[in-house]
Amino acid sequence: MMLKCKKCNNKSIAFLKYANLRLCKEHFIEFFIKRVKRTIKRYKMVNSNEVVVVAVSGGKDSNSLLHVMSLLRDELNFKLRALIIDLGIDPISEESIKIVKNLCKKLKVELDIFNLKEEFNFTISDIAKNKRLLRKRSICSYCGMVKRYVLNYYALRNKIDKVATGHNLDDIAQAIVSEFFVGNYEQLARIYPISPAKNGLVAKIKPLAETPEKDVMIYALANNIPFVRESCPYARGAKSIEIKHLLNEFEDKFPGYKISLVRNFFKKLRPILVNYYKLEEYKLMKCEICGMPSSTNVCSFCKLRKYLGLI
Amino acid sequence: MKVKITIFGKESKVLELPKQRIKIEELLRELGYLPVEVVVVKNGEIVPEDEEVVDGDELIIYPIILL
Repeated sequence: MMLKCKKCNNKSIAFLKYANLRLCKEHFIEFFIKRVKRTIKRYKMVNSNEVVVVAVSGGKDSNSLLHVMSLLRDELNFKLRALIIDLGIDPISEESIKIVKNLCKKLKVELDIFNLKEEFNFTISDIAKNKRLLRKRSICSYCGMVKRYVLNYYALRNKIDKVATGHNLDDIAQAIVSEFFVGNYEQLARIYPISPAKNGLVAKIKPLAETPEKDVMIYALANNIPFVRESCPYARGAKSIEIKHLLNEFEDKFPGYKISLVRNFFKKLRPILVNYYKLEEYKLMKCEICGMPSSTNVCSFCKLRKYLGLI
Repeated sequence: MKVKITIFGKESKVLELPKQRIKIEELLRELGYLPVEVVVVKNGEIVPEDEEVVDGDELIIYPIILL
């Protein structure tokens, strides 16, 4: 028996349990693009004539985001660029860059490659080999911090209005649960699909914030969007992935659970936390070494470079 | 029935199942996957998990997270 699309009776490629919706390829793609557009508009992510750079990693999420943003750039009237950071992780960095170069060429998007080794004289693999450093925080935590620093550094240098990242609904649900469980409520209050330009930080947007990760994979496959086969060798067994899996076990039993969690957090709990921690008034200092925004005298990035003996 | 299964980025194997047909969802659970964590391509086409698999089908499983 053929399982038909709810909109056109063609053969369906997906049954979205959380929405009780069965869609064919054409209508799934239309549904996906509409939802991203709705997210962009709901959170006022992009203004006319702005320069938006999509931070791509070569994975399904950021590559799909770049694809959908390239389809929306004329309608929403923004200029689109892409950035990939060469983190020096063997063997995935090389493969990621190759895939992203081809994708950008196909989508006619200008690509910048930021080479961490050339610009700052270290790689993520250098951190992974340093046992002393890994006693302080996990490799994923260092990598995230380095990427945030580089994105801001690059965006300020290149007069970028918005940095778009491929964080999807599952990433956000995981972040909410993780911060909640460890009692880091001030950090919890910062989780949102947009963070405005403030305190020397570039504005960041997450246009896939309302899109489940599985839908991103369907979109990537339905559009033949290439992505890296391998996951990061250092991320295996990461706590964040385990939490995502636990959330998916809930989702399996109660479809729509993740959407409900994220929606209710943004609507009901986050405003209370933002008010409690007075985040609107929050000010950052400038790092004594590099001058970039920091919550302490010396920023985490410069501390890392100090540990590595680079400054 | 025999079904060829490939996990994206990994090995392929041929499974012999003691049934004439099986829902993809059921097969995924037997293989230890949560349907919400994978996308399945059957004979070159993306399919919903309530579709059935029969003898000779070829499946590619795309896990959305790698545990």
